[in-house]
Amino acid sequence: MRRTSAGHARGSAAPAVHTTRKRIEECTDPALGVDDGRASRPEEKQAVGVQNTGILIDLQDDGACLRGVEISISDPEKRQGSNAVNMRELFTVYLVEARFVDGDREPTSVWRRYSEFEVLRNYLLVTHPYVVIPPLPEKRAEFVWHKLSADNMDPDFVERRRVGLETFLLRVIEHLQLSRDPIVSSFLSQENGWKETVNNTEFQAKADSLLKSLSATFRVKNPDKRFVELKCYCDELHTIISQLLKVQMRVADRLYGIYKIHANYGRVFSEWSAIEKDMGDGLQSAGHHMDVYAVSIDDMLEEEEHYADHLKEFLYYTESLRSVCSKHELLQYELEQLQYALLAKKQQREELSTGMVRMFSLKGVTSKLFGQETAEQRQSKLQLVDKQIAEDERCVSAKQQENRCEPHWIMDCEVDIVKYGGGSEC
Amino acid sequence: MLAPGLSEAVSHPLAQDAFSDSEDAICDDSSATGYDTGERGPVSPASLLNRFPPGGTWEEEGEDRGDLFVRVEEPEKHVTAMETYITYQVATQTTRQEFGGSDFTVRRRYQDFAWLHGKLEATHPTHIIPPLPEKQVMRGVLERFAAAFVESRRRALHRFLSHLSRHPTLSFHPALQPFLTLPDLSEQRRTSGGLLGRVLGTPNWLVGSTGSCGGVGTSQVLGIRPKNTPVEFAVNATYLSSLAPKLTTLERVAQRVTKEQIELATELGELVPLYAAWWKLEGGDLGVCLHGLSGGLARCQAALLQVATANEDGIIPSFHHHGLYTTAAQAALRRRDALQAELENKEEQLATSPHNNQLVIAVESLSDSVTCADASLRADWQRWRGQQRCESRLALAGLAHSQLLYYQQVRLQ
Repeated sequence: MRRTSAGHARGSAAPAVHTTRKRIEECTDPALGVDDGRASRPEEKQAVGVQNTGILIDLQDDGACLRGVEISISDPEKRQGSNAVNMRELFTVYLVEARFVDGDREPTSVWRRYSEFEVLRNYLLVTHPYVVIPPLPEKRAEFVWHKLSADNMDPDFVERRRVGLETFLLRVIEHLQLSRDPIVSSFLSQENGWKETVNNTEFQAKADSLLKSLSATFRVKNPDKRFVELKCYCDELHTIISQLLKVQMRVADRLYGIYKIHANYGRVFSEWSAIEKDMGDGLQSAGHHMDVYAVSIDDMLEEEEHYADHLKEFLYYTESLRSVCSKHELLQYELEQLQYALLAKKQQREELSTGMVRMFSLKGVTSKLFGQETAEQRQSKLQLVDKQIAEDERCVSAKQQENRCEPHWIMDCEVDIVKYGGGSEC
Repeated sequence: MLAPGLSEAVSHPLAQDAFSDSEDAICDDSSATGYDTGERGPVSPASLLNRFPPGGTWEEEGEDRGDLFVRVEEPEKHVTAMETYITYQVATQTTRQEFGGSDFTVRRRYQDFAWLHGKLEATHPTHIIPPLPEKQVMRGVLERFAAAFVESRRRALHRFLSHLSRHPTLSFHPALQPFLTLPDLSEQRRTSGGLLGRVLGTPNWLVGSTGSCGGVGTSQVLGIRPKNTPVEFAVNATYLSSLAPKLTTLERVAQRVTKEQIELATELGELVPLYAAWWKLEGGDLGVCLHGLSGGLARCQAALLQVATANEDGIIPSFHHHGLYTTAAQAALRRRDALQAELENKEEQLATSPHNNQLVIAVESLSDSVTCADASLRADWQRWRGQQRCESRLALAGLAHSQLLYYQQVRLQ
């Protein structure tokens, strides 16, 4: 069972918003991609200018640049380079090829390593804060069973990672909003200097400030019930799945042990059959059966690993979803703050225009002490406050609009996850 | 005359010269205090045929043959001022005349069984005595009384007595009747120590230490090897010495597998509530799948525990018993060897001083003993091999069957 076939099924069952069909190709021919003739093409001209990401979201499917793309990731290769601490390390790169179905752009191919995928994802997390970003496969081989160490160079691990990366990119491409981001298209086409391009967007600074505001505790006065429910669901699912993965690993280890112990049965039965005359044949076949039994566990555990990979995807999706909920909470909070500020300003305005002191305020005291201020002063203050009110109202309405948009995206992603979950269980 | 058990060397029970030529009968006349020749209850030729199919295989179908049926059951704990011990109920049903009755029920403790075993070893050193379960000298007090241990010992004791009761020679040992019938055995044990041995003429040096089981305590005299061991016994000895370690390994493997299976069942049990919780969280199709998964895992767990129990009750004791029997057979072979070595020794002495009458008599009697011993051992060997084959087959088939049962139970209904 190739995992990409699950992705294929999902693509055809996707909700109506994503109309373009994707074909997934497996590029396993070793002849491709190895020779240097496939070095990066000259950079494609970006068809879309830099967008004002975040606030205004166009919900129409206007055939933006990256719909209709076939992606395939293949050919993991080992390269050597020096990492941050200037030590030589071995890493794997993958060949990312993109072909455009509508034919007016040439296919591209670049070599990307895992850390570059990570950078892309972090960028997306910051620039599209209210979209559930698809998860990446795990960085290090965790939950490894019956192997002595978690080896990132292990061919099985590399293969599973390759599939995970392909799925990630496909989901990004399928997503309306994400696929329109120019960084994504340059990820597919710009071999060198992509990192600089990304860093130039200064997403890192935004990420840091977002992290800071998220980590501060804040209370929202009227939390949106949908999001609260979603958050609870995410937390519970996260707990359940992480526990499941731990127990599943122990179960797999023990199962492996039991099957392999049966190989001892096989060996002794065979030896025994050699010294028996009458029972010899029976014992020999019993021994053979035990050996077959012992070996059969390897295939079973491979399937278990695939299943565990799916569970991990669910886990990462819950984390993604959870972070969207948190960001929404932040948004909500900021909205409320703004609304209160607006209310206060309106009150101030009223006070100024009517000259009445509603409640105890510093203004009232000073006016009593120093006398009423002049009409001009009042007028100018009035204008200032009016301007501020107008600005605040605009911000509030913008935020509210944002507020209204997210559920749509979130429901889409939920549908996505559930369909995927339904497919994978069978 | 019809012995309750017939060796496989005799091809058909109704063959004409079968009984008079039976070497069993000739040899054991000297040791047994007499067969019950006369009335034996209605035995028709047809029923005989049923019991001994012409193929000569020994079908173990429970103890529905013969004239002596023994059961060991109902262990009970006894607490006295001096000690605490367990007794087992031994129920006997017999049609033998000399028992003076047809039903007996007595309580016996392990020491009594060990006494009986010692007696058997003393008087029939070159027979393969059915093995007893081991003494528990290492375990603590609590372990000795644990239910599982008591149960497994009860089964082993039952096996001991049922093998004994079906043995053509040993079942007529004089110690067996008091063992099965007397309410209190302690007097017997005190008075008959050593007497039988001297009466029946088995040299003391040949007797292993009484009260041990399976020939573990044989004296170092038996380390003497004879010069001309008959080929068949040498072959058997080699076979046994290569078989014994295999059986130990098999038993260890089975124990390890069972232990891991129980642990696995526990861990599967941890998965069940997790999936149940997840199922409650989800709805729709995914929920249905998860619910099914949770139920399936619960079924797996239950079925796995059953397999583990079946292992503990079936294959593990079977390997163990086989191993004990192997040791008993090895002991019998060694004693036979010792006897022959003694004979050769005496023969050499005779060669140097041919007119020593004592020596001549000694050599003659020894030579008779050796012939007897050879014959009895050969017969016992055949008997044991056939019986063991059936028991092994049953045990291994049980192992396979429990696996099949597992898959059946785990399958989606």
